[in-house]
Amino acid sequence: MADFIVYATVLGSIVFFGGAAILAMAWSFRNGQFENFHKSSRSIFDADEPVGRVTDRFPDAPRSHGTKNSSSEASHRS
Amino acid sequence: MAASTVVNGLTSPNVSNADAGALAEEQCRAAKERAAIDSASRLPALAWLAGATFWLLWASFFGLVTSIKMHIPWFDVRVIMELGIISTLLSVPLMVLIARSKNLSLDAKIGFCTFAFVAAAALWLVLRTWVFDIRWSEHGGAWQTFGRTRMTHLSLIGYGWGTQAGIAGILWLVPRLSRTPLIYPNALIAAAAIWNVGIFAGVIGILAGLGTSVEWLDFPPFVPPFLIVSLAIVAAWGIVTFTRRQESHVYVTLWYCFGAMFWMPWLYTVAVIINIYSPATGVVQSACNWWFAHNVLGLWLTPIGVGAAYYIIPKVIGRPVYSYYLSIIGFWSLALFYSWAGMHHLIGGPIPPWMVSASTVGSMMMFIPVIAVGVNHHMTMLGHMGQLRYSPSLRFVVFGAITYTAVSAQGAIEALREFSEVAHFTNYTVGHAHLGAYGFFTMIMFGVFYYMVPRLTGQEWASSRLIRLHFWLCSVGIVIYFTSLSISGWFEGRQMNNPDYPFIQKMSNELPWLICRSIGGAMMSLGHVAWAILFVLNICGVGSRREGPTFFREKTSAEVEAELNGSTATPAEVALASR
Repeated sequence: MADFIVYATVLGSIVFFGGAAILAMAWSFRNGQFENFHKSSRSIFDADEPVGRVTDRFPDAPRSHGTKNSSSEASHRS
Repeated sequence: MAASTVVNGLTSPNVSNADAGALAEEQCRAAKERAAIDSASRLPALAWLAGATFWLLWASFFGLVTSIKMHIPWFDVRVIMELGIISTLLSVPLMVLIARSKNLSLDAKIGFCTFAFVAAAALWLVLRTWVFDIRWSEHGGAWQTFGRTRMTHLSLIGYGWGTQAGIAGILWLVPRLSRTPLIYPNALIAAAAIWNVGIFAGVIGILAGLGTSVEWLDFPPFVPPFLIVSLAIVAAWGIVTFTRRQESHVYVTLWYCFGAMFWMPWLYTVAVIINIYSPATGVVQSACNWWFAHNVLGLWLTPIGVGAAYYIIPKVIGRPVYSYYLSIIGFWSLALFYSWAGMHHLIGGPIPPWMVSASTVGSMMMFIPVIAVGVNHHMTMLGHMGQLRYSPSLRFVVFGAITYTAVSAQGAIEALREFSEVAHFTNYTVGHAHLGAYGFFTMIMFGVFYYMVPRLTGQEWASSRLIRLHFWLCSVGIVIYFTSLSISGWFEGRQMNNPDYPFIQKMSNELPWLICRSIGGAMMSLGHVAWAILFVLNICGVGSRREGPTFFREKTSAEVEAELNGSTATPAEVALASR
């Protein structure tokens, strides 16, 4: 009985994990997740914290290090 | 694309007023949205983080005790406890006086308080040993024997600190990246409470001698139901959040987080059933054990750490990841290969050799995701290394990312049979494990929290000096720890492979390295105390208020006008200035 449980869970895991990975990958293809890498890599930036803006500093650091804007960053390749 | 037009808009002198107005409005909306999302994550994320920090201190304590017992076997834990309690009692009145002083800066206050504590400890040592002539006890009782303290240390790091820190990070990262406020905050807080009750019961159980001795599943059998319920709540929340996301693109960090939340509850439940409740018999159990133990690292802690670095590095320096394509490859190859790797822990063990071979192949295949992630993290940083001086979270995360590359390459090589002939069953493995769980995962999580907590509480960190102290203690500590154990382990392995070499000689050769290990461990533990102080001060509102979106409110037309007339301040700063 114990052996059966072990085999069932191990085989079940393979099917479950493998199946889930295949389904997830198929979904992301259909959904267009792999279509535009340049745009995708920029999805974490927004108008308030755009590409080129540094967003972290030590609390006692001078303000000038906290904000750095350079338009050259925007053309950095994806 | 939207982001680049925004940047060009900001810097171009010929931009029309209408465009600038639209830009300001968009900036305003984005800042507000982010502030709203962060504020929804506040309580649940901080609840999990508070639990994580609490158990991190205890885990460090038990780790240090275990380490010291390796070279001072009769070491009595009650010495430290008594010292701690008496020093606190002696120094607290002094600390209250210092804290109330109006002339001292916060850094000076913290410094004097630390000094008061150390002085009180030294005073008690002198009084007790030489003045009162009371001898230190040499018998500690079963609860503080090596086997139990080590088990406690491992469980607390894995479940008390690691898992809770990971979930705290997830509860902030996932809503941010999905651009949807966190839902079911009460359920998540309840999950944190259930989890911590489980951990507390588990620690008491292990110390009482009820531990299962199954590595990574050491908690007594009455603990797993707590953890399973709690993990299930978090996983269910993850699924609902995924369906509610506003951002159509699933960023690579989200893939890692969702992957981790999907794998862990299932892994843990299955592992508990086949190792504890209905244990597989014989050597199969060791295979089940290491299948799980390696997957906790590979499919739970690693994805969270790597995923978090994929967000924090680009976000802090304001530069998209070097190659987004590579990052996707990295995620899917990790999902494919990591779960194979567990059996390399059983090299030379009595399990079918093909299982070990399959694991060795899986471990070597891990070079693909590791190189992909390494290239990405390091190439993104290239040219921005100067920011390490100014950003606390970047320091920790970059340290962790560099360590990830190193520790994973090392791990893959350790999976080779020839290499294992020497390194297996020695301190070399222990050094590797700490480089992974500490140098990589823990350091990255510290980095995430240095970025996350001020955005949740609206409170800046109280002391830069304490942050720097935390970083240097932890980074130098782990380097000492890893180096000494690696050197010791390698020679240990060579000497054990030589049947003519006296075993007792091998043991005494290790001693200096084990003392180095305790020194490294003590530094890391002190670093954790610094972190805990910073965290508590932040929660209690000591230090300056944060500038930026936390204060955000709608702009007046006058402020928009002021901005159009040449000011480059963000809307939040304008709003702040006009208060």
